Amino acid sequence: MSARLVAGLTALALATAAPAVAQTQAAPTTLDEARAQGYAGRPADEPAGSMLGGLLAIGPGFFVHGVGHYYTGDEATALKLLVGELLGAGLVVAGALVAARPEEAGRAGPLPISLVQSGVFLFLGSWLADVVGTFKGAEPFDDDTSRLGGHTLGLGYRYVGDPRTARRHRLVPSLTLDSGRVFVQPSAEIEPNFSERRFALDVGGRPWRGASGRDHVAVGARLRRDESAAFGYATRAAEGWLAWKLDLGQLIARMRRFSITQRYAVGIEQFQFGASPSDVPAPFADADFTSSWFSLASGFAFNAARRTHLTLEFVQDPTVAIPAASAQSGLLRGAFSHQYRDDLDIDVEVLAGDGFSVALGLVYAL
Amino acid sequence: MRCKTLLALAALSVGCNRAVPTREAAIKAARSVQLADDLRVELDGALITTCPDDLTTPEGNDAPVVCVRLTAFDAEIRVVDAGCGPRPVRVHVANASADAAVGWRAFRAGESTARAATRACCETLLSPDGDGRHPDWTPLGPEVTLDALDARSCGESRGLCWTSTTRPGTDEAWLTPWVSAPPTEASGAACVSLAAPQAGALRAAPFVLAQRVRAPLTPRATDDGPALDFAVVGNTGEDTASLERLVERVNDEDVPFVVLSGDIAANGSEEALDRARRVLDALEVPFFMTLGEKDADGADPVGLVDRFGASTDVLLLPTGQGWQPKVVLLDSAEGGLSAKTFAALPEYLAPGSPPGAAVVVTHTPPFDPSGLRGAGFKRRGEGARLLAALSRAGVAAVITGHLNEPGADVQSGVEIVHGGARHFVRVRVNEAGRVFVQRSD
Repeated sequence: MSARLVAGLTALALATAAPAVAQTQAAPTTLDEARAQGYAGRPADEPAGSMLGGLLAIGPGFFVHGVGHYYTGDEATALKLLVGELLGAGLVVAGALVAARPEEAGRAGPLPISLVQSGVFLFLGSWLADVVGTFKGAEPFDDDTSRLGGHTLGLGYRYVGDPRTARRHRLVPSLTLDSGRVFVQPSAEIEPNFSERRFALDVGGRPWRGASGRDHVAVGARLRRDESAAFGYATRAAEGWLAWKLDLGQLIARMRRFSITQRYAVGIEQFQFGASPSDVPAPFADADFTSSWFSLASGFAFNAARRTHLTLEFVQDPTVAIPAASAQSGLLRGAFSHQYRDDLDIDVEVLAGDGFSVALGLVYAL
Repeated sequence: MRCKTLLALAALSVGCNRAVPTREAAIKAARSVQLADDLRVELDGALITTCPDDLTTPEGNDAPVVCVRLTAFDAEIRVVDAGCGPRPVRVHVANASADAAVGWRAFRAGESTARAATRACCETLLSPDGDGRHPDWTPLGPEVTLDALDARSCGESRGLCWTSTTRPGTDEAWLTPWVSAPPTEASGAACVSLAAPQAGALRAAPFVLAQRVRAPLTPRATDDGPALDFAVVGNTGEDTASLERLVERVNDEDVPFVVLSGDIAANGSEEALDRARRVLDALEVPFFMTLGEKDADGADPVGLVDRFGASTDVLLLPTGQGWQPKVVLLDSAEGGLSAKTFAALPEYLAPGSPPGAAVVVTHTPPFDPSGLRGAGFKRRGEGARLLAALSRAGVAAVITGHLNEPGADVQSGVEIVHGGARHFVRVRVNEAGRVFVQRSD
């Protein structure tokens, strides 16, 4: 019922919003006009897309990355992709060796998790880049329209499809104050009858930003307070994180505006247990137990349409809304952000693991 | 394994983790079997299992055979017969301890209005003849103990077997040796149809032959008073030789039972599970087992329950001395508990009657003591939910598997013991509710 309500409100918000920004420039009708408007044609050193090359990249190319680019004559990129494959395989092997150490037995630790996930990511990424780049040729992806900088107000709803909890509907308000270099984001996630609630404060900065502004390295900290009046516990957590987003076009010309993303976090959490399942300890009451954790997310991001940014990530994070798919796996995260207007984004996030979570939000620029 | 590999490689992580509810369904399904439209066997503290290959039945006898695996030290096997004429059922119990005894009692699964009124008003004063397990049933006679030799008439050292025959039409029942022919029509009075109007409400109630298998646990005297001992083994995985060695070691330990904390098999394939089960069959005492991710990895839930019993269960340890500890098995093979297990936790962890310490055995620890390694529950909120429940219930100790290195720590007042690999843990629970844990190689 709540889901329908939120969907209805969203539809209402969209219906009452102004139409998308109109085209201000007429489409060119001649090559000269197109050149006058900035069309530069395909770079001489970038071959056109190839159907056969793409098929080669899919087939034998899975085992020898770069076959597709090699077929189209881009030998330098083919070599980079092959190096990426070997490096990825090497990281997986290194991670497996580290995980096999007796002190890591039972489950991989942070180092082998990072090595294996980065290795798999690099291996699959170089293959994917070969396939996509060969099919597509020199045509770039659309400009990255993900919002970066500026102050926003977010109103969202999350549905948690986890059989372990009957409390599946969450309201997710947030406020972002972002100067581009530094940002502060208080947020909350509240179950409507208030039995489950999460309050968080993210503070971060981007010490490096690329020319486009979208490439960046960011560091930050997150303070979090979870309270469960259903199960009688609360937590206080502090987390430090490092994240980056890099346009792959800087390494592989045909993958311009296709970004890879990575996020590492280490946190420490204090647990407080109530005397009964409905008892939530006070925020500054003594902690009963302290524990730390590590999380990792790897993925890629690109504009799937002119104003629609898509991020797909593999996430290993024990603090998110639903558990990983299995004891030795993680979650798949898909985030879709459509810039409906210059001052309004529609965000959708899907988490899939042992259960699923769908979040729908509107982000208003202030 | 295939599913996990796909997850790792392609990040297709949706819907590959549905084994826990299916195992729960398999456990529930194994608690009863319908032998005919009006003949059913129900189990309490036991599960239906596959009969051993070498179990032979007397020639010319086509009575149905029900093979059972005990999951409690006081189990009940009920033949519920809504029919009329004599019907035999052969019962085989695979894992009873050497001194287990069989008793039986017949009931009508209902009571007269007068008896119900007597119970309601003055049960303490008048104490109508009844049964503690089934107070609202009408016993048809006192409990009878089956002769020990008759109960082992299939010749196995640890297996119990007998033939039970019910004859609702005359309110008669018999337990006879496995090898002898069951009573027939000619051995009793004429059969009366229960559907007849003159049968009355009580006569129309199903006839129940309740057969109890009790395995007494005898506390041993220690410096801290009388105590019960048991061993916990886990984390052998593909190292079958290590499991064999531990089984030999435990057999030398003089413990009345063994609890397995999971990851006993290399993986969930039929071959690996069979290999592990064959090794465990060398144990000289009953074993009870929860599962690890290796055992459950791609395994058929029905096959797991058939081989190893209930992976989530409460094992009461009757001492007969006014105190009764319990071992709570929690299936965390998927790195967390199922929704049903979470919902049942308050019941599992509630103080018993008579009182006694609770020891929890689960494969995955709620939290990894090393923190960053992340070998605890997949979601920390669920770990907190379990730890909060354990802490509130005053659970004396939690024995886990999963981590290969042994260790112990105290989390929110609960002692968490990580059994490690290539070791076993000897647990002693005493009358005062204290738990002592000792690790042995």
